Amino acid sequence: MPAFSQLILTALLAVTAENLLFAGGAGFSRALRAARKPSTAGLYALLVTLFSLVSALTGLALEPYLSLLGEEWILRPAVLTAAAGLEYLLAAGLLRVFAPSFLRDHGRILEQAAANTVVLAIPYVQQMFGFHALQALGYALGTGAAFWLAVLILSHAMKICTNPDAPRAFSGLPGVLVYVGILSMAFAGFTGGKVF
Amino acid sequence: MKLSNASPPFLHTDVTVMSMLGDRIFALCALLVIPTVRYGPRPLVMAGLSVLICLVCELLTGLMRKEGVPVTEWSFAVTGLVITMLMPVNAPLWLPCAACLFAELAAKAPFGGFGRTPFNPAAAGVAFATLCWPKQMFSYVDPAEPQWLPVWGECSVHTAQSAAAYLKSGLKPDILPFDMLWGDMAGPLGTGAALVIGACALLLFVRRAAHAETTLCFLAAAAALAALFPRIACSPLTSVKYELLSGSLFFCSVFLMDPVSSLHTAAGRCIYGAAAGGLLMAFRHFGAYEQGAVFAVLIANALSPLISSAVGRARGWEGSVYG
Amino acid sequence: MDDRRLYFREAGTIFWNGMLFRNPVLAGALGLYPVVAAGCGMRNATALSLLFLIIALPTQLLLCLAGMLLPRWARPAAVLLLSAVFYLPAARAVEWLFPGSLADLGMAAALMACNSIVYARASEYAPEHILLAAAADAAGCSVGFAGVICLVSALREYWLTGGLWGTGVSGIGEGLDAPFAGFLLLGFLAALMRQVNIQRERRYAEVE
Repeated sequence: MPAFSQLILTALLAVTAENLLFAGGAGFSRALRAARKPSTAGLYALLVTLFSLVSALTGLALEPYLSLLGEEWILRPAVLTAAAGLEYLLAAGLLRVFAPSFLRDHGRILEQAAANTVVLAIPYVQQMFGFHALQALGYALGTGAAFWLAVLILSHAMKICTNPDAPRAFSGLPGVLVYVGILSMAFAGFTGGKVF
Repeated sequence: MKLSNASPPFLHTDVTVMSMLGDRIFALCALLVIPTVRYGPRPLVMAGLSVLICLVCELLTGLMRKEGVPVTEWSFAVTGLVITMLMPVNAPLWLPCAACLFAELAAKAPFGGFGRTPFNPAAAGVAFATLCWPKQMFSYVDPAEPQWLPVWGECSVHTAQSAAAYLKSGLKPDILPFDMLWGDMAGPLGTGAALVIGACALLLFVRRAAHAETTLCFLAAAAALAALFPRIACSPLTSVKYELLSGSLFFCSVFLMDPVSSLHTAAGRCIYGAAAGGLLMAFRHFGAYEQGAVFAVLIANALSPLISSAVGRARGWEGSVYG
Repeated sequence: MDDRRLYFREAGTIFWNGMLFRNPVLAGALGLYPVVAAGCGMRNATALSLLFLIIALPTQLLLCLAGMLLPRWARPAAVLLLSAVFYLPAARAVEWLFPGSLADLGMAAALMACNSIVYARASEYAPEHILLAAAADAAGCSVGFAGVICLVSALREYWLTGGLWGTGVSGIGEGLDAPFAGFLLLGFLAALMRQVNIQRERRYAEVE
């Protein structure tokens, strides 16, 4: 299959059947926060995409060494989380030097995009599905798109769930969680159940 | 213009909520005739039980909120009947009841009831039942052995694969498209008789209880994808016939594209219908189950505010008609 | 003496808020992933709760002591690095108590190293409060998280298997191990918590 088609196909899978957010349940804490300010959705999703790409590349680069380590589920997560911390530090450090106003204005979005379950899950998904480099990059791109779509949908969901007829106990977050549950049910129709 | 205080459905002046719901109930009851003649009173009992469960849930949630249930509020009956139509006739009686409970208590009550539901409650209820009890949901009576089913209790009958299951496996169904028009095939209770569904659709369009453009765009998108990407080795026209007449596609294009979760501009409704049709075909190709219409409808429901915003922006309104 | 009693009483309030009235999962929508993705069995829930406690408590205490020495923009990196360090003993402890649980949990256990509750409390709350408050908050959030994940897991395990702790034989149905069930259960639990808070507010308003 041509390389570009592989990239697009994996990106599409990341938005549909292998959607980390709706089919996997990852990253919703951040998506809900982002949905409270829909005007920042685009920037947030872009940063998630960039960090997802970096996370994918880090996972690929470290994979040969991680597979040599024993105790896979003890050492691998620690190494990948530390790598994520260093990636954020590098990004924030570079912005501090070259674009301090961007860091001042959007530092919160940057840190939440970096320390995002969706971003940190990319290397594990890579390993789970046996993605090679191009597929991993496609998946990272698709995840960013899925995050953007989730933020847009959730921003509308928040308005729907705070209508005057909704029971007070369900107004706001509880209603949004039920909304997300029903939407997640729809994505489960692709897979028939649990994916990740 | 902002309509931030009103809730859907937004109806033409000569149509009321009661008349709209009444027309839908009448159409759904018409779909019960053929299964009742074929299988006995069991379909009626299933429908009655489903409607009763929905009514009890409405009353309970109304009591908990210290409100009554308006006399004109017959949406629970529509929900119960739609859920019944999407069940196999030999399904255990607790199955539609469980779907109705979910529809009312999880998909309707938390959001404020009729007019405020972001998702079609019947679609949500059937989706839940499909995920939790897939064996019972896709086990259909063999129409080659017509018999009256027991009204209560389990149905020990010969089962057969539906046309949708054949297509899912990449095989041509063992029934001609012409014979599928009368619903004499294995499948959900009320979704097989395409001619009756078509007549009901015409009635609803004439009475303005449903939007023709949504249904037509739904069918057009599904037909186009069926022609371009057939699942079986056949001509594009044969693929279109089988895809449109199998499963619950036609039924869902009429009865699940309801005015509450639909959009309020014609352009928006066309896009919404086309999106739902496209999603349904995606579920048919890539989904886990032979019937994916309800899942497609749920995703389309979630996309409808985005479509509404996009249409509003394209027309130069401030983002959306709603606040 | 009065000041100490006041501090302990305040710490108690912080603990109760973290555990119940401002539960980080039900009220703050934090830490959703492990609950919805992996909270389908009591064994998994207990393992995840233990992981959370062993990562959250020392991370928050350290950030409380040293957080203000770091520039604000560097704190997220510090949280991630400390979480990674404390994940090691946490994972060992869980694997010792529940052999094979980490492999069963897979990604859910691995991502506990960057749990959003730990991140939010350690980077925002802990550096700006005294040690006792940070400790009470960490303990309360740990108990609150454990309570929610155990309750959700118990309900899902009973539905799927008809029993708890692997004792079930046949369940009510399938499907509830998928994330949608976790979200739905959390939604209803959050509504219950909201109702409890509404009743409390009404009672306080009447008293006043």
